[in-house]
Amino acid sequence: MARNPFTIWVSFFGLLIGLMLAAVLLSGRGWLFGEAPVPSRPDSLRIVSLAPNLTEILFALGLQDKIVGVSSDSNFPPQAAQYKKVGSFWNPDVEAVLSVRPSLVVTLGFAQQANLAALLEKAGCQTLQVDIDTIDQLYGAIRKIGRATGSQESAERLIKEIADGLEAYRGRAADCGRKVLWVVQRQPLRAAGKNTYFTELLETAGAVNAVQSAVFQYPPLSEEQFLLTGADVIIETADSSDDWQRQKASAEIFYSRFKGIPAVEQGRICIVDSDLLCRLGPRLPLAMEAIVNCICSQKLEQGKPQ
Amino acid sequence: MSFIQIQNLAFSYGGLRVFENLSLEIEQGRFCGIAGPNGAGKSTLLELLAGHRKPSSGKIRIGGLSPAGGGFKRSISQLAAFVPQESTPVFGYTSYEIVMMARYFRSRRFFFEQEEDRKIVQEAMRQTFTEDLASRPITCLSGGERQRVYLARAIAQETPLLLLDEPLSHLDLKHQILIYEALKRLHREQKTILMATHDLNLAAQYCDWMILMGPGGRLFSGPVQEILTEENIGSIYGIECRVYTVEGMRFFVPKAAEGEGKRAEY
Amino acid sequence: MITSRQLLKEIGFGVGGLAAVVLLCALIGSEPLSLEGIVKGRQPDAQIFFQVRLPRLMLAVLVGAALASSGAVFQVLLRNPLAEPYILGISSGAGLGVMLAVLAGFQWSWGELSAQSLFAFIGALATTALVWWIGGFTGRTGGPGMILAGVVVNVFFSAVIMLLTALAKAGQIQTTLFWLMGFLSSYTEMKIWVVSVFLAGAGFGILLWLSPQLNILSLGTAQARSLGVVPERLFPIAFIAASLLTSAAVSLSGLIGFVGLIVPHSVRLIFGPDHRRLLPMCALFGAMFLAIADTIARILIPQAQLPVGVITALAGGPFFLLLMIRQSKPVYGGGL
Repeated sequence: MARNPFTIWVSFFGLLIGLMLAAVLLSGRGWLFGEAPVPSRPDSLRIVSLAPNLTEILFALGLQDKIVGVSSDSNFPPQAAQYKKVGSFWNPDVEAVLSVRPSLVVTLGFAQQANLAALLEKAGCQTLQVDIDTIDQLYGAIRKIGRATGSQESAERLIKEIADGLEAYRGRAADCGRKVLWVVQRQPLRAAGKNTYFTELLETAGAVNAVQSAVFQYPPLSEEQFLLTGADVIIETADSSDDWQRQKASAEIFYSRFKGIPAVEQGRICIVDSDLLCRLGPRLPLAMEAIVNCICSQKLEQGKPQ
Repeated sequence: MSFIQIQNLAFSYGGLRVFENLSLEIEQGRFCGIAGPNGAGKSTLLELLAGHRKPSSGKIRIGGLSPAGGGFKRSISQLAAFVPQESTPVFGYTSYEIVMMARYFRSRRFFFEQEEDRKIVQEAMRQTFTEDLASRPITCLSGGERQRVYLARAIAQETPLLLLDEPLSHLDLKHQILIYEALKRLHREQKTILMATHDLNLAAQYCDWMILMGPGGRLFSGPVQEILTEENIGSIYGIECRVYTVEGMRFFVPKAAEGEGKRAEY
Repeated sequence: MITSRQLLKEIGFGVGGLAAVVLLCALIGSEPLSLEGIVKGRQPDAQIFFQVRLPRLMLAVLVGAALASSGAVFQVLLRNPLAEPYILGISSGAGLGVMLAVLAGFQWSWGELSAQSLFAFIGALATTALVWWIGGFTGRTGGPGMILAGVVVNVFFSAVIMLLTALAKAGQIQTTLFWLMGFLSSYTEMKIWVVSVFLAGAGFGILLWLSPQLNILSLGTAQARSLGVVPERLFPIAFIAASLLTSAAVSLSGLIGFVGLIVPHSVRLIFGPDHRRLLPMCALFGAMFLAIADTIARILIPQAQLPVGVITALAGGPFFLLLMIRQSKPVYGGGL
């Protein structure tokens, strides 16, 4: 009554493989036998933004009516919160993105989301990937978005607006203080290095980045190196206005042990809204304003809230 | 040519030399007891015969085959079944499954057991009085019950040679006798049995051949009547004993060390 | 006591159950889908169902089955019911491979499969080879010896990973962390599936074929030898097959933990340690477990896709505890 083991294995594997193939066939729905027919592009422009600064740019270009989905951390302008959330840039919700049937998805990088990009291609959706690490790249990105959405004029206008906003602060900090340090992380201590847009902002304003290291973008600093920077101003960022009070207090305590630094001795430690400074977007002039105010003030002060 | 041939066997555990120059021959069909003090090498000899270890030098042949060598098909499992001294299993197979493992390489089909295998396993378990343990996990058995299951497995392997490493050490007297009877039956079916044991008296009753191993390479091998004498036992164990014969059977009583204390009178 | 008919019946039930579970899970997700829309091919329902959820669940099935069955085999090879596929350094080896790929910035990809997957695969296999070699080199080739070698390798590679993390950029750290937490994506390309199924199927087939010998091997090399098994042949073959299974799983989905430990252990408590039944059941239950865990990972927090490794860890522990409590006296288990 015992059957030949060979037939048993064949049937077992046949079952397994058959199941697999069936699923693959079903999941592919025809691409096994050639390319699936490409659905035509949707008539209207339906944009999804996968990063908060991209959302701000889209709003600034006047495209808010075309937006159908934003990343979950898109919090500006306040109206952005009402759009459908499609996950974060690091972890986009594939299903949510697909469910809004976009025609254009703008993102900062897709290295680990090649899968999403492929699915979007199949749905006839265009993806636009931009890198925004410097101010020039910001302008370039705005131009690219403008081209992709047919709003080149608005794009140029926005670029000029930002550039003018930054120009307005040229040299304003030249005689207030020289070396500025942006501490991005306290433990371990990390600061914005020479090759960041922070340095660009400082140089426009007439100040200097206390960190001259060009090896890392955000180099970790030992206590010794921190003392050697001789920073006149220390800038930190905070997420919300409630945090500012707490962070101000803890900043005083934290930096009090670095007695040799002019910034600590003169009490020039500022907290800036992280949505302004950490995002390279249309509100960059406001970040510049906050920095300049900080450099040129006499004592502890907060960056101006939006 | 004898069934089991050992020539100039030498073996060491690391630096500890167990055998120097051991030579031995055992005919097929013998029920042979191996006795000696701890550390004399009884278990080691059985393990060498079973192919678990390789000798440092010398030759071992069982039925012409070397136990440690051999490829896949002509492995020692066709010739010799081994009952270990003590073994704590990691996974809880049932006793039935443990005994059935002996049939894997003897069965005609490689994956599922056949009816004939089931019969053999059942018979082996009947002979060792382990039928009621069949569906219990081996990890839940006592040491003595486990030993009987291992013996059943050895029987189910249907090999001409059985190697047993102190298989009765955890058994109560009744089960010791029962197992000895089962072994005697197997002996009558022309099986060769090599059994390491501490119990000289029972060995004297059932075995027909005896090997005494002692310190310093001392070795006595021969028919049990010849080998089990007061001098040999004294030489091997270093203790004095007296031989008594009751109803034609001999048994050995060690002499008390110093001073003859009170002894029961029969 | 297993007959072919009985085993096929059990496997049949298992497959049926698995299919039902997969279909049910495919209908659950963060986006509500209409059955009608799926059947009629309406977008986006059909696209989400067929190109996002089903492939993802099929991957869960494959990876879950691979991890659970290789876990069972590692447990018997190392004679330790608490062993799991990552114990021999596969986790840190794969992680290191991924980290190196990320830091080097390789853009190469084979369709939907990234360079990181390939490096994870290579890293995993290379590490098992290294552990094997160390075991042989130090003369400790038994179960505990290999575990020791695996621990040493794990510790060292983890240290290297930490070193690289300190030097890496934020984006690179994020990518690596993603990998280390385990994730399931929707591969829809045929070529990836063919290769994966082939690799996993071959590995599993070999192990299933060897399952009676694995039963015997669990008694220890000495007794196994007396019963006709050649441990010097069986151990490497089973080891390589199980490592292949694990490496394939890890390269596709990162380091999903606990499946390779909890599932085989639990399945053994229920179905017994006979590998002829244990391996298919582990595969089926591992598949079901991971499919359900993935579904939970998708819906637990709205608009956030949790890494499935988080759910397996959260669910696995209490589940296992429950099982141990209910079986106050373990029927099949021993050794703990």
